[in-house]
Amino acid sequence: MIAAADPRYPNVYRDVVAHSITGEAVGIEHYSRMIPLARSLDERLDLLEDAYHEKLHLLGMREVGRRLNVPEKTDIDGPYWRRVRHAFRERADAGDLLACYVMQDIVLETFAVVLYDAVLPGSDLFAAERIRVIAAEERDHLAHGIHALTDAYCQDPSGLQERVNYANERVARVLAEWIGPEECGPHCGVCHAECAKLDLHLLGVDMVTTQARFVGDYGAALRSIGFPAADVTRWLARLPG
Amino acid sequence: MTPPTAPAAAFIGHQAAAADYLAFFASARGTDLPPLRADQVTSLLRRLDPMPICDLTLRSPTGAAVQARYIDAFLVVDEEWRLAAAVHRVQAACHEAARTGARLVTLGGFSSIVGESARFDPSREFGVPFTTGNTLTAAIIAEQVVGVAAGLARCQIAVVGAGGDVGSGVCRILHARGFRPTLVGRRLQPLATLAAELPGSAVKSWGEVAGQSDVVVLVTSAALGAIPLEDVTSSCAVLDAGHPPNANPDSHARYARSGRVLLACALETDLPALLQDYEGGELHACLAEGMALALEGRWEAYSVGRGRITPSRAAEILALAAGHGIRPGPVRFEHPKPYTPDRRAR
Repeated sequence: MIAAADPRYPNVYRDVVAHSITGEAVGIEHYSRMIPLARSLDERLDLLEDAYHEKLHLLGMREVGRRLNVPEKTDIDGPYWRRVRHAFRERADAGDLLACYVMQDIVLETFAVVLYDAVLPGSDLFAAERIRVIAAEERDHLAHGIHALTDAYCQDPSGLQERVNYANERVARVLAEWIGPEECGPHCGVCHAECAKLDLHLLGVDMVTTQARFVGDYGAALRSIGFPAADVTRWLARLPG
Repeated sequence: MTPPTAPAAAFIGHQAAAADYLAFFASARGTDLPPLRADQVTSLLRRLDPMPICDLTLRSPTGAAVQARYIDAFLVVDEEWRLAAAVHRVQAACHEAARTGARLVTLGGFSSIVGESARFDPSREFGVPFTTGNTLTAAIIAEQVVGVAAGLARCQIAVVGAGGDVGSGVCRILHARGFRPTLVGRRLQPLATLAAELPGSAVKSWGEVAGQSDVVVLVTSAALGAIPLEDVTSSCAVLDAGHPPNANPDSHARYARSGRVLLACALETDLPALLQDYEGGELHACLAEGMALALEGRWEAYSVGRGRITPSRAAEILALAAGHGIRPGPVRFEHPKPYTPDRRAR
């Protein structure tokens, strides 16, 4: 693992910042799309706050980038995020708030927590402080999502299963493919030059471990909601590759 | 779909080899997607934490029924396996099992060997009884050996792995039935102690007995296919009770898997892919011990390792299992293809 003082550190870290900012921008967009679908004023306020948290996360990572003097880059229309956002927009446009919760609060928040946790040990003090706070808040979003969807599962198990089927195929599989150990086929549009995966080992990040952690944590979240282990196993078996 | 309830029993297990995981994932993945590559599955398995895989319902002919959960430890016991990593996996699997709220947990396959090697006592650590399933395993193997020996005019039995928990149990049971097994293993001290306990039994090396035995029982804690069979005679019956299999059978051996039971009780699962490697109604005896105990309502750490299996305990668990339709599985001599990484890839 390289030290923060190593001249290679900012170059490696610029992609971490770029991915963080882009992911948070997608989070802002998703929560904003969910606000009009809220079923109560309190839910509307909660979603507004969630979007605001994502904004603070984005600004926090932008500050990390400034501190490292790395150029800012973001592309929410790259080949991976485009597929995720399109899947989300489809359900949001259909007024399917439950599906939006599954995609954002479960799949994407698990993804965010896993990736922030992965880069945390190799981050310098300034970045680590911010990432620790951001990861904790993403964990809160995930916990909130699990709680809300546990109630939804009790009311309509098969209805929620349909939503997870959709989120698994259209979002989780895209993300699992993206964080696979192999270099991205199409450039994701977020990395500055070559695929960041080639250098992430310098921060102590092992992509296979990260992918396995995503699979494991995503499965644990689904089981926490109440889904039978066998259903979760089938969903997870469809992920990597 | 019904919401899951807390299972009464939990089973910790693992597939025999990476190739079996490949087949399992291919089946669970569905036919609309191409299967994962062997290297993808292997690398993922080495990093994936143990997790609940599916739920099971056990129904005894007596009318007793038990809900159970299967947790896979994702243990791949091949030439690359390391005890420290395996201990971490087994501990994590035990933690998952304890979290289910089960009243009894069974440590299947290699997970009990790992636990014992690390002197790890999950019953104490998690406050839930854990059984290794080794007593029924030893009893079933011994029954299968006796069945094979009945057809032989001369029967010199070698137990490879006799110093281990199951191996020493098998030797004691066979000795009580009038046999004088030859004891083979890596560690001489436990073999010498066992030989002193079983008059007429001798300690020998595998090289000494391989070509002299009529029945060889493989019950070692070796990795997949570690015991060579080149020197056994063509008439020798090799009963391989290892999980993963201790030998990679070559074409001349009379080779059979051992240590499996035949279930007359019903085992229902919501993920049939889990049981795809078993012949109809068969299951490893270690898991069957947990099933029998749960169906009987005996929530106890029946088998705790450390070479404590006695003929009387073996007879007790054998009878208890039989009461729920769990009996020794058939011994099928066959010439299965050796394990290769992509043997089972589809």
